[in-house]
Amino acid sequence: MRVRTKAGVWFLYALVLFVFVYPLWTLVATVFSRRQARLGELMTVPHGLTGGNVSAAWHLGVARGLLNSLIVVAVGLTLQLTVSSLAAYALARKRFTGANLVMLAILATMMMPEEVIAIPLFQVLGKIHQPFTGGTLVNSYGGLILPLVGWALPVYVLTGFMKRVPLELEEAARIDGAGDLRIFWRIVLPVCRPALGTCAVFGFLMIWDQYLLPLLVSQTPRMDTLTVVVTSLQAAQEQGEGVRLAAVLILAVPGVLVYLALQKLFERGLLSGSLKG
Amino acid sequence: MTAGTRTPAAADADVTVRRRGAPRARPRLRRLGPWLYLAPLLVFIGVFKVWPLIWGVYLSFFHVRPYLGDEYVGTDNYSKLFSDPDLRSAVVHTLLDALIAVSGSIFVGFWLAVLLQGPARHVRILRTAVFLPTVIAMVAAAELWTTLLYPSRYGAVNSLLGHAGLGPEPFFSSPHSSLASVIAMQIWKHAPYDMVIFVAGLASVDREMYEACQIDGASWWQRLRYVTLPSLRPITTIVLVLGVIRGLRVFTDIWVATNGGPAGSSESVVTYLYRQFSQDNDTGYASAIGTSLLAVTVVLTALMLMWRRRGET
Amino acid sequence: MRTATPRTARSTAAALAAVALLASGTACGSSKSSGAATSKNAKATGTLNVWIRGAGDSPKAYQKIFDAFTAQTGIKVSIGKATLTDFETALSAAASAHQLPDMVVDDAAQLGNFISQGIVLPVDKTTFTGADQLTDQAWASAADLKGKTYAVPFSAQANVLLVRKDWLDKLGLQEPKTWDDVATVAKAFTTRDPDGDGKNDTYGLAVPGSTARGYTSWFWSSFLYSAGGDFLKADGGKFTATLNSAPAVSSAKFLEDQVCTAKDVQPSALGDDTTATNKAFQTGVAGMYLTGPYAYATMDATAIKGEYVAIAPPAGPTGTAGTLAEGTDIFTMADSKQDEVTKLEEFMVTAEAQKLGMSAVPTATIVRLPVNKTVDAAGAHGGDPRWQLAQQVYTTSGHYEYDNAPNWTQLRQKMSDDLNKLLSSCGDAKAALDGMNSDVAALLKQQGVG
Repeated sequence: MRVRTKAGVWFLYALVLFVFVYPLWTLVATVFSRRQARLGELMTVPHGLTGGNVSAAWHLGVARGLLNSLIVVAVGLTLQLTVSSLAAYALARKRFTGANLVMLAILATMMMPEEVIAIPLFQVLGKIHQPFTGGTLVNSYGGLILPLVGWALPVYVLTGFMKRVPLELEEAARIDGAGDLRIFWRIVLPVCRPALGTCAVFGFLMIWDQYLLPLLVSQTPRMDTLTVVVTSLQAAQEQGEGVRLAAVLILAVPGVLVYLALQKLFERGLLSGSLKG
Repeated sequence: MTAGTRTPAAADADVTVRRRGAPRARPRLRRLGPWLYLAPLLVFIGVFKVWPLIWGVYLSFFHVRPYLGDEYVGTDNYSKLFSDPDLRSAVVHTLLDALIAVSGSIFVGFWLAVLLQGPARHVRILRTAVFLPTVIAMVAAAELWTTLLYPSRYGAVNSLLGHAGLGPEPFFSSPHSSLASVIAMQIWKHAPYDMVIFVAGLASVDREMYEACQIDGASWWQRLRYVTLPSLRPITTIVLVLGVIRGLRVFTDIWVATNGGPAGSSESVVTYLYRQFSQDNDTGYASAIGTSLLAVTVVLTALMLMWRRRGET
Repeated sequence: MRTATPRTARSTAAALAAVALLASGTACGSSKSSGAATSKNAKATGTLNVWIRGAGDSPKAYQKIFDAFTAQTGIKVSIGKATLTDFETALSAAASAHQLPDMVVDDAAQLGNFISQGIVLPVDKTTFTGADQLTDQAWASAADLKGKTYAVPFSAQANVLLVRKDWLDKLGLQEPKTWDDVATVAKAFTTRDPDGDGKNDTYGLAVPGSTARGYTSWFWSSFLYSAGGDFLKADGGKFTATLNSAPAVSSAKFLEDQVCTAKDVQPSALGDDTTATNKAFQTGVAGMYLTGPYAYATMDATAIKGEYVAIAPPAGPTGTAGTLAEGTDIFTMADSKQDEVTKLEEFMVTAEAQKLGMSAVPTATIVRLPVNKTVDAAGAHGGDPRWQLAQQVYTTSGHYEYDNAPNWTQLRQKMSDDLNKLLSSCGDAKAALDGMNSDVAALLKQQGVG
């Protein structure tokens, strides 16, 4: 009986891996296969090894797209986490009139479908001029990044987490004469690392996944982010399936890397309950 | 836990801090303090969310023609909403998609959690592996799935079906199965996320209850039915409601995988909105659709918040 | 020690100021221009910004032409958006924010749409250098309902039928000349294993039946024309829908038979756009493909080079020859540097530029059939007789769609949706086309030309 249960459990493990992980593996195998895939075909093992698909994709705009996406996500995520944790600090640690109202307003924007405001947002970007070049935010890194900075989710998660940080630490530091910002930086933020890890993973995915905004904002191949490059490769007829899938793979990998790197923090953040609602 | 709740300790401590730190020295700055921390966020939200939002509402009252001058049309765009059969079917698809994909993800995620819960090393590794679909970009997932579900017999799934003597199925290419295929893709992508939440929930189920059950000789199924499920109900409801509200805005997955087709069979409200904009050049009508979707979302969110507050007290 | 608070406030204030600076340049007054589109010749310096609907190697081919233009005139040209995916979404957004490029190269099907939005400037044929070198057929496709020209034709084409010669030979079949022949060959390709791999994995017709961009209707049009039918009837600036005519029904029925009864089209047909359908033909999934001659370059870059032939599209039941003719147009956008754009347009239709467009980048034939009378299509393609065929099909039996209707793409989309529904539900063709006819009539009314 127990043997049978055990075998059953391992069978279920295999099934789960097959459904959720095997498709990703076949993507890798197909991209590195020397024999080109037929239309719609994904391989279990590569038929001969080659890096040709990746290098072909690399030269078809994927390199530039990857660079742009990395710039956007690095700057965007830094700004997003900074701005969110500052706000969360005020919401969690200060008492002031209107705090509840602000939190409610921020939550309301979380529910706001960003796709719905993309068109007016684009028009707004066309009205904002950059300080030095004088150009508008259209077709600029500013236009790709700045609209993504104010996001409610990290504010919400960090506020929830900061509220549960014990106050003794903070008080002790204050008696030692530390200022607000110093306390925030040296005491509160380090304690919040799990929550920051959770927010970093979510923020990374949110920014990395952007499609509509870069589609509208980027007006030259030079400014295209990776998602835009990948979807446009779908229509490039000269290349085989392998090249398109190589671009898809390059788009998929960074999310996986970030998750694996931050996994411990991410899960601790999740388990701490900050996302349960 | 909600935004409103504060631990009494935190509130007390705040008061203490205020008493100790710089009393009356700079009362105005004190009062300004929290707002200075909030300001960057509020500026970003104000410029890139609220301004476009208001602008979009404004546009919804116009026949927008950027180079010929906008025409004020009153509430025409809104009355069109109710007589547009294509929009109506997009609404139905969106609701179906949101409900089925979200409850499907919860269902699959729950069983994944039951299977993969616990601290053992091998299940932790399995959990990490299974979580991967969640962390790849939606565009990548959609492109992968168009290949997986490619309708010829070489398509990955179809070749499997072929071994079983079935297919080839058209999946994304038939109006009868396109929406179902999109939903399958969404469940694949979102179920592992729900799994992680349930794993956290299962870990917090009262151990003593389990032990009591064991002593009473309850079966595995009874334990699940009378202990686990009831204690997970609050999380499940929240995940469900939030998911459905978020599901109303489904766009990128559908746009990349099926472009709303064939023949509008997987069109969602937001993809329809973009078709109005890019194909019919009707920015005003697109804005009216957007504004209405927004209003619906706000109402649903408010209802949910109220209902939760009531549940807490 | 108590100074901690003000210091904090100061640094936060600095951060706030930095953010505020970003928004400071905001021009609040919306710059809505009223009335007709204008040009900004006053600002006629700097680089021309050109958007191109094209992907893969096409932008490289355009770049060759632009380089030649810059060498000749000193005017710089830069390619902005160049994509097939979501090109019009990006263009609509650019228009809505008054951020249009100077020039756009797009399908002629966008003509009426651009005109009715007021985002293109008219072309003055009387002062356009080299206007007389262009074919009348091409110019006619660039005129609005009242005959006023709003675009410069850049390339033309008509659909031809590509057939796997090796498959025909293997099965001992002749090149199809009529619809019935097509049905027979398609059946044989599907059932008699023409690639000889012992698997039941080939199909007769490659059909781009996706509703995206209206492909279903686009593909159908050649059958509609060769049956002797048409989408609309034009009369004095008004249109009547003629989609439930006998020829329209019979041509839709023919397609429905292939999809539903004979099942000899590639299984993904109803979701495939032209890119996917190209791949189906290239990779030996289907053996016949009705498409534009630009596909020669695409197909010749793959393993089936030399294995297929191009022939005239099959004649309809009454022996009528008819096929879809299409164009690529150059549009001068509102608010552009009009004088310089016109110079570029004049250059792009010269014999030199047209030849570059045909052969400078072998994998991207951006000029399919030249619009310039002095250029010989086959000659520019190294005497390739397939181009001669394309030229001849275009002149003798090419029909343009109603690109000058206020929004042809909207009509085409509707027809595609309806036709796709018929093909996937395998219902009654006559009833479906009656429905399509009234749908289109309603849209025409809505567009103000019904």
